[in-house]
This record gives sequence, C-alpha cells and structure tokens, in this order.
Amino acid sequence: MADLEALNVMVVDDSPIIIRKLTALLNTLGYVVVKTAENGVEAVETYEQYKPDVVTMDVTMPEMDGIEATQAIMSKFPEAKIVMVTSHGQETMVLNALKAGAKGYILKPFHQQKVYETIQKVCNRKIELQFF
Amino acid sequence: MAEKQLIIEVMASVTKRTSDYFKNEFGIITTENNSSGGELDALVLLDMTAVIIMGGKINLLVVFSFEEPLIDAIYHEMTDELGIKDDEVEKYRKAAAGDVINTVLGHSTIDLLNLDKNGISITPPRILNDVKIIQTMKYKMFYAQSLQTPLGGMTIGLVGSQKLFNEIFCITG
Repeated sequence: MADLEALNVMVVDDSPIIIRKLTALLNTLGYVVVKTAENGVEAVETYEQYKPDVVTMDVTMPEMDGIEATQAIMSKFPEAKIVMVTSHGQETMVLNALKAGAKGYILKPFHQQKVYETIQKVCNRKIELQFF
Repeated sequence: MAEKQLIIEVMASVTKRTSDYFKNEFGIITTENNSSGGELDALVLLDMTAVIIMGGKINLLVVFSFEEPLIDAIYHEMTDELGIKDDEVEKYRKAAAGDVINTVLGHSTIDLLNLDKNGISITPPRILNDVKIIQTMKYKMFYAQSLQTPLGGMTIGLVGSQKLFNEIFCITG
C-alpha cells in the first residue's frame, strides 16, 4: 500500500464468527483491528475510548442497532468514518444508514476487493491494483 | 395481497434461499420433505434452534431448527480456519445457527420487498437454548417445512397470527 501508516479499524457485529472472519480479512488487507464490539452500546463507548480511523458497523444488533449507534457516534464525532455491514442489500436499510452518517456499506458475504475499496475510499486513500 | 399468498411467498422464499445458501456456501444439497401447518398443538424443535422476527407487514416469527449433525457440519464449515478453542465451541455453534438464519432472511427480504414497500425489518437472531417445544398460543399458528440433507435435517417454521393461517389451511369458525 502507498499509505505507510496502517489504518486502525473497529469491528462491530453481534456474531462472533463474523467478528473473527472480518478481523482476519482486514488483517490480510493490511489494516489493524484495534477493538471489536458486539452491540451498538458497546460500539459507542468503545469508539470514544479508541477513536479508530474507521468502523465497520453491523446493522442488526441487540440493545442498540447499527443505525442508532452510527447516529450516536456521529453526533459526538462528526468526523467519524463508519462503514455499514449488511446482508440485506436493501435500499431502505442502506439509505437509513447513510442518513445516519455512514460513509459507505459492504455486503455479507465479504469480498476482499470490495471491502478494500470501500475502506480506502471512505478514508480518502489511494486504491491500488490488488490481486485478491 | 391476500394473507394466504403472503404465507406461501414467505415460506417459498425462505426455503429456496436456505437451499441456495447451503449449496453455495457449504456444498450441502437439500431436499424438501413434508410440510405441515394449521392448528398444530406445538412446533417440536430439534437440537439447535434460532429465531428471528420479520417485521413490517409480514410480522412473522421465523424458526430455524437444526438436527445436531447438520448444525455441527455448518459450524465446522464456518469456523475451520478460525482456531476456536474447546471452551468456545458452544458459543460458536450458536453463532453459526444465528448466522445461517440471519443471512438467509436477509436474502429473502430482497425477494419479499413487494410485500412491504417500506422495507422489511429483521431482528437480531435469538437462540432458543432450553426450549424444545413452542406451544400453540392463542391466535398463533404454525406452518412448517422440513428440509433433509445428507448431514441431517432441519425445520423451517413460521409462527404468526391465526388470521394469517386460517386462509391458507381453510380453517373455519
């Protein structure tokens, strides 16, 4: 990657399997997963503490869903960069997430290229040719 | 849309999306066994059960109940490269069941958008750990579809209002 400093990422998902898989994928892509959270409440608290460069945020979670958590983070930290993770592919969900302040979205199951391009774009970083 | 059609459409989508997901992700081929519904006394659950509520106009509790060998096989497929420790296995088996129903219903919402133009919400999956039977409740009825695979079977259940199910099973009075 052209950018020398690795981006710090926080992964938010209520599925421990998704957390482990996405963390492994992000590590492969050269990012550093600094913290994970299993629901929206935990995500808001953890964001304040770690201020990661980018957050991957599941939409459907217990206690506080991803859209509410995004709103809560964006209200305090308007510069936050949040990428929604959804298996829905639903326009309504994606629109609500973008209205809440999310900068992009990725669909489950994950495709390395798409995850890489979305995070690079959201963080205004150069997208280099990759051979995944 | 008639409620009868709604039930048929939801079950058809969920069944097809389940079969597609099993085939594409795990190479597991499914065959449809018997379906049943109406005024059942209870929906008998298998070894591991995950539920989600589809909201909006659909408003159904969707139940995925797995036989042990099937959920074990799915768990292994999902977690083989993750290095799960022995004391984490049960947590991740439950997560595997939750991920299956979550992914399948996520895909189904795309098929079912015509049923609710405002979008179909789905709740996070819940695992029914100690529940082995969902008893018939007042105004609630069941519709179930069994799927068989070489690794074990599963049941897809829909639980909704009696009004919804009266039409499909022609129950009178």
